[in-house]
Amino acid sequence: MNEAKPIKAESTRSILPRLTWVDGLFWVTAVAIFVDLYLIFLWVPKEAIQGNVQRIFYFHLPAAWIAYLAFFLVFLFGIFHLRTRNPRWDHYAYSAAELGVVFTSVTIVTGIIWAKPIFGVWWVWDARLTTTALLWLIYVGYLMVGAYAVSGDKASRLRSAVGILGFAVVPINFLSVTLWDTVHIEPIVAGGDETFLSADMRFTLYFSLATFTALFIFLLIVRIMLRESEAAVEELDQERETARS
Amino acid sequence: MADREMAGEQQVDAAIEVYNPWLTPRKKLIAGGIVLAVAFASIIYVVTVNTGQFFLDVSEVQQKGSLLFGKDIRVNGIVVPGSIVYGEEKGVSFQVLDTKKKSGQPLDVVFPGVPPGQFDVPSVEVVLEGRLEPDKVFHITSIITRESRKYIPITEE
Repeated sequence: MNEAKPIKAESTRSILPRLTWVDGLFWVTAVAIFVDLYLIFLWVPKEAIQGNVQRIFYFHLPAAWIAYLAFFLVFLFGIFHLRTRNPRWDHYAYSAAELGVVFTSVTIVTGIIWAKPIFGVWWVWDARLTTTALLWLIYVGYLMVGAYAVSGDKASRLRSAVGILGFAVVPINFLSVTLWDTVHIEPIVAGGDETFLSADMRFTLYFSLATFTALFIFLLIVRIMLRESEAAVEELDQERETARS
Repeated sequence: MADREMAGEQQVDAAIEVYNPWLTPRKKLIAGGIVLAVAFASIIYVVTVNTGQFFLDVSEVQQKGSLLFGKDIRVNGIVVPGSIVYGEEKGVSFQVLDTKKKSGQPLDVVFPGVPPGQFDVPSVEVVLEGRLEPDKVFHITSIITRESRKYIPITEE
């Protein structure tokens, strides 16, 4: 007679899925996005001169700020990577650069949509818009370095150098509206007596900024996890190739 | 693993150098860096020239006067309220004031096209491109309206 196998205590397990802190961040971000959309489209009052098109402001400005943050992280992780040669920093920098390009694209597209009814043109080659286009090109170039370089290690070092040098354009881009005469307006937030933003508009802007930041952090973490998985698979492939030969 | 990769890289470099000494990664990197630096410098130069040297205020246009006749210039000004006169079919004439002083002698402007939507906003700031002719009228080819830095909510809603 066979001995009875011990039965696993399946019934004591929770039926709820195990939530990690990344899942928690996802749900916080998702709820924040819905609240943000409610604030932007239904709660905050319409602007008197520009009308509804001014609501683009609550997407345009946070996207630009997040792009700056992303490129700063590329700069920082690039320095860490060149100093330590640890590929982990390159994965972080690469992931931040991808998101920086995405958020810069959002900034450019929302700016173009906003410019036509307000400036009367889709695009103008003033200092702010030109340096934004330049910034976008630099970081697209950064992402392309990996695709065209000879080897992985060399590509990652070259990429880090591009990320560090490319960051020089960020302060130029930020200061361009005060350094030169531009069609793009000077800063509205903390702009002094010549600017005005009502309390509800200011609240919506800050909420939108917090939402974009949460979204950026969530996407960055997920992208880094994915990038590290890609690197692990690549390493396993190389080991298998070596074992075969 | 890393050592093997480094050795591989060196072999690739050596092989490239034999076939084409101009294509070593180091030389490509230096050349790329020079191209990138020249590209940056040219873009910044173009931006500075276009938006700095030829971005004049109304008072500067009046000061320079005949020196600017026939030259392509870009002028920043505030549309004088009540000065806008539309043509029968198309075109518009109006006056602009200095953005800094917001007073003084206005500059007469003629535009043959259709102005942008925000043009009728009282005291709108505009960037105008065109030529100052000897009749001291600024004949422009484009109008760009600048947005206000004051976002005023509609209160009646």
